[in-house]
Amino acid sequence: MAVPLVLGLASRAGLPVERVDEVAMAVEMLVGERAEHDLRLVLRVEGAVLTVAMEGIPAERVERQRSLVLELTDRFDADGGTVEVSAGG
Amino acid sequence: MRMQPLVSALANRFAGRASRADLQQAGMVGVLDALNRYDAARGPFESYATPFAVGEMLKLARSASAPLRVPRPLREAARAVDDAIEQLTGPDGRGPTIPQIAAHLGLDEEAVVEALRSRMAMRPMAAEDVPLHELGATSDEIAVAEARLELGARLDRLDDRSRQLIDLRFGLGLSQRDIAGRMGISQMHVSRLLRAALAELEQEH
Repeated sequence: MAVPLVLGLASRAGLPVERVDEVAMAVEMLVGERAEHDLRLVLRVEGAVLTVAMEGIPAERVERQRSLVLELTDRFDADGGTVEVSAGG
Repeated sequence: MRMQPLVSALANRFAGRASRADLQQAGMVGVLDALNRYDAARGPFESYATPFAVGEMLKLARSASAPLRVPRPLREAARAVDDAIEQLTGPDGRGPTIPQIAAHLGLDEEAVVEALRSRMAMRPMAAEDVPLHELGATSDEIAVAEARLELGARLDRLDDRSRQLIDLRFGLGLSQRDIAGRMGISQMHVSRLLRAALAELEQEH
């Protein structure tokens, strides 16, 4: 469910398609196969920046994916149970 | 049960292609099938049951690794989007946005988003084997890049091609378009290969 939302909102942010693809890839890597009801996702577009905030992702998974997600996104913050990735701007 | 250790050992052959619990369950289905057909004149039950158990595990492994079936109209739309991206990418390597692709193809943006989603579900074709040095990276640079990624033994799960893609994109920080240029394939193709490599990294072994 997360990826279609990312693609839809990325369209509004006017991101080049390669950036859209990679931010979607980052979200897939963080969410993995977790059931939707275990997660809370908030997506927002501010100007040309798309941000995806995720709650419910285990800290160990975030750490495991950190080095790869950093390369796929322009900003990556993990703080107090919320993980945020952004692209664009 | 007496057959459990044998089924468990047989499941090792398919490690990584489906979950261990599912493989063992499939193996036991095979054993039960064998039990229904068994006749003592056929020799030891273990020998008789083994092909049944392996057959069920193989079926499971194949279904687990099968790509999602993408309907033909969506496949065609995905191909059109791929072509549009190649045509609309500027000389600076900046690719088009979704609205630009939609305008180019005369589609609405939702249709382009749907095509992009289906493209992600397609199985990548193997890339041509290009030696590492021809891609512009020395083995020393690769070693440094791999250490920086801190993926440890997870990298050892990958075949050479997948590992190389992970090294180039994440270790050396090349863009998908840069990699595509060096490998002589499209950026879309690189994207699909990367997704497959990342999925392989995530497999439980």
